[in-house]
Amino acid sequence: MLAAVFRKEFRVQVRSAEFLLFLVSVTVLSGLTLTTVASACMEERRWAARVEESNRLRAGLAINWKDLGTTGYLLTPETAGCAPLRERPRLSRHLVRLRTNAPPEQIDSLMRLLMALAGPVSGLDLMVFWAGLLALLMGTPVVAGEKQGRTLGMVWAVAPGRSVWWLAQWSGRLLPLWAGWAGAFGVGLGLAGLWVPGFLSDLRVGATVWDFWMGGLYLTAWLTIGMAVSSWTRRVDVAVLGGVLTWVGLNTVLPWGWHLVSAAIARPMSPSEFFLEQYTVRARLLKAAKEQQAEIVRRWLGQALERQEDLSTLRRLQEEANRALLEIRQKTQQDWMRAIQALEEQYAARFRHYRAWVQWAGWLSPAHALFLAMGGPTGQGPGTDRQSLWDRWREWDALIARKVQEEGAITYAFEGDDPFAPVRPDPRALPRLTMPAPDTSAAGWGILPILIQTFIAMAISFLGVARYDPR
Amino acid sequence: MTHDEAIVEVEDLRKAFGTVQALRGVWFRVTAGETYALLGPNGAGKSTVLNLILGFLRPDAGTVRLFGQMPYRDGGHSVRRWIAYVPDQTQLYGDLNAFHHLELFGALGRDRRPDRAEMERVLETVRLPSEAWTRRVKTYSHGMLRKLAIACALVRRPRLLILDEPTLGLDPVTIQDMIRVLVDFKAAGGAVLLATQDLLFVEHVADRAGLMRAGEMVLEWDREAIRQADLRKTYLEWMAAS
Repeated sequence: MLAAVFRKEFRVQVRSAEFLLFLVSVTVLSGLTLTTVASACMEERRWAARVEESNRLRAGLAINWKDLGTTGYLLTPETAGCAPLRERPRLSRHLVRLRTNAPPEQIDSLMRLLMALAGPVSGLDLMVFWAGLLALLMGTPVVAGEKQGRTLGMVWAVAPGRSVWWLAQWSGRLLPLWAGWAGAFGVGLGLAGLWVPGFLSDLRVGATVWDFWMGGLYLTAWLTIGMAVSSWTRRVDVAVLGGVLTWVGLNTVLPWGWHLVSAAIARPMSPSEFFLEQYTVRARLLKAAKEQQAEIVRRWLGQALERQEDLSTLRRLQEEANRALLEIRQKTQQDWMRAIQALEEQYAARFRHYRAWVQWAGWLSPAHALFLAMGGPTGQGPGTDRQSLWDRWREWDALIARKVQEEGAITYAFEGDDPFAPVRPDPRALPRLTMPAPDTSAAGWGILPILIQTFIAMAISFLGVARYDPR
Repeated sequence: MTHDEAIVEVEDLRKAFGTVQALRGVWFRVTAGETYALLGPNGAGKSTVLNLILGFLRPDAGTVRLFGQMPYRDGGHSVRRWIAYVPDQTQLYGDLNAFHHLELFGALGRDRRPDRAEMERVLETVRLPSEAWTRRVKTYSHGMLRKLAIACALVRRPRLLILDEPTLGLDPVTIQDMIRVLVDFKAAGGAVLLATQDLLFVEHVADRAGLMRAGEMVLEWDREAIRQADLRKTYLEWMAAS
C-alpha cells in the first residue's frame, strides 16, 4: 500500500508542470545564492587586503567631518577572509562605516525605489518566496485532486488505513521536492567550488549549507500546508485559491503586521531617533566649537591688532592660539564620539527589543521562521542583518525628510566648509557601533518553529482526510 | 470457491441522513459466479447500499457480510484485498499512463506488483487500444477511461467486483465490450455487484436483480425472470405505483 501509493504520487509529482517550474526556480535560486556567496568570498579576500592598507594609512590621516557625516552603515559578520571551517568564527558583530562619498540626497534613487517597493525583501528572498509558493501548489492537488477525480474512493475501497495512504501521498510529493532542491544546490555548490579555489572550506559555505537545510524544511512546511488546505477542499481550483490566500497571509499580512507591532513596542522602550539625534548632537557640538574657535581667533587677532606686537610675539600668539584650537577640536571630537557611542548603544537596545518581539512571528509564518533561522549555528543569518540595515536606511530617509522641514536644526551637518584643520585622531577611538551578537548557543532551536508548523499542518491535513466521506 | 458461496450478504440494512430515511431495510445476497444488479430511480438508495458495503458509511442497523466476515468490525479489513470498486465517474490520474495505473491498483492491499505481461493481458481483456497504453490518461476519451478503470479493478484479481453505473455515457460498442468482460469475469468464479439504471445492460449480464424504491427492496428477479420478463415494463409499473 505505502510503496504503491508513494510510487504513484512520486510519478504524478515529477510529471506535473509546477514541478518543472520548481526545478527551474530552485536552480536559479541556488545559482544566485551560491554566486553571491562565492563573490562575497572573493571580495572579502580583496577587502581584507584593503582594510589592512587602510588601517595603516588611516592612523596618519585626518578624519573629515563631512565624510563622517555622510557615511552609511553596513552590518557585517566579523570574519576574516575565507577562514577555514576548522576555525571557530568570531560571532561578535560590528558596524563598519563605509563612505558613500555622497550627501544623503544623492543616495542611489533606484535603491530608494526598491526599498519603497519591497521593503527589506531582496531578490533572493523573492525567489525563496516563489519556491515556497510552488511547493504549496504542489501540495494543493494531493487530496483535492483525488476527491475531484473520484480516485480516492477507488483506492480507499480496496486499501485499509487512511493514515498510511496519507503518509504515502505526503512522502511521494516530498521526495521529488527534496531531490530537486538538493540536486540544484549540490550542483551549484560543486560549480562554485570549481570557480573559487578553497571555496568549499569557507565559513560561509557552512552557513549556506545550513540555509539549504532550512530552505528544504521551509519548502516541506509549504508543501504540507498545501496538503492541509487540500484535505479540507473538494476541488483543485478551490484548494489552489485557498492555498494562495494562505500563502499571501502567512508571507505578508502576518509577518508585516507583527513587524509593525514589534517596532511599535520596541520604539518607546528605546526612544532615541538615532540619525536625528546624531546630527543634532553634532550640530550642537559644532556650534559650540565654532563659537569657541571664533572667540580664540578674535582674542588673538584683537591682542595682535591692539598691541601691534612684533613678528616674534605674533608667532608665539599664533602658536598659543593653534594649541587652543587643537584642544577644542580634540575635545569636540571626543565629545562627539562619546555621544554617538551612547546613541548607537541606545539604538542597538531598541533593535534588540524589536528582534526579541519580532521573532515570535516565526512561530506562525514559515517565511518569517526561515529568515530568523537562516545562518543559525554560525550566527551569520541574513534576516536580522537585513532588518537592521533596512531600519537604518529608513532612519536615514526620515532624517532627510526632517532636514527639509527643519533646515535650521541640522544645517551644520551639511555645510561644505570644514571649520577644523586636519587632526590625527586615534583610529581605535573612531566611533564604532558594536552590535551584540545574537545568542548562538541555542541557534539550532531556530529550526523548531518550522518543524512545529509542519507538524501542525500535517495534523490539520490528516484530520481533513480522516473526516472525509468519499461517497 | 463454490458457486453458492455467499460473497455479499446484506440483511435489514437501514441508514438515515438526518431526518431522511435513505434505507428502510434492504436484504440481498450475491454468490460466487453471480452478477447482481441493483436497479432503481435516482435517490432510491442504490449508491448508499454500495457505500455501506464499501465501508464509506456505517449502517444504523442491519449487517453487511463480505466473504462471511463483517468487514468493518472486529478488524476484518483483510477482505478488501478481494474487492475491486469502480465508481460511476473517474478521471483517474491524468499525468500517468495505463501501466502506472495498473501497477498502483494491482499492488494495493496485495503483496506483489503485477508484472508487465499480466498488465498487458488485462488491457487486452478490456480492449483498450494498445497505442494508448503508454499515453497519458488525460488524453483518453470517456470510454477509454472507463475501460482503464475496469482494467484497474481486474488487475487486482478480485473475487468481488463492485460497479456503480458502469455504462454511464458509454457508446454501444464499449458497452458490448464491458458485457463481455463481466461475463468472462463471472465465468471465472467472480461475483459482480452493480448499481445501474441501464435495463438493457442488466438483461445481458445480470443473474439476479433487485429493484429499489425509496430505500426499500421492492422486487427481486432471478435469472429466468430477467430473461423472460419485460424489465422495462415492470420497472415503470412499480415506479408509477409509487
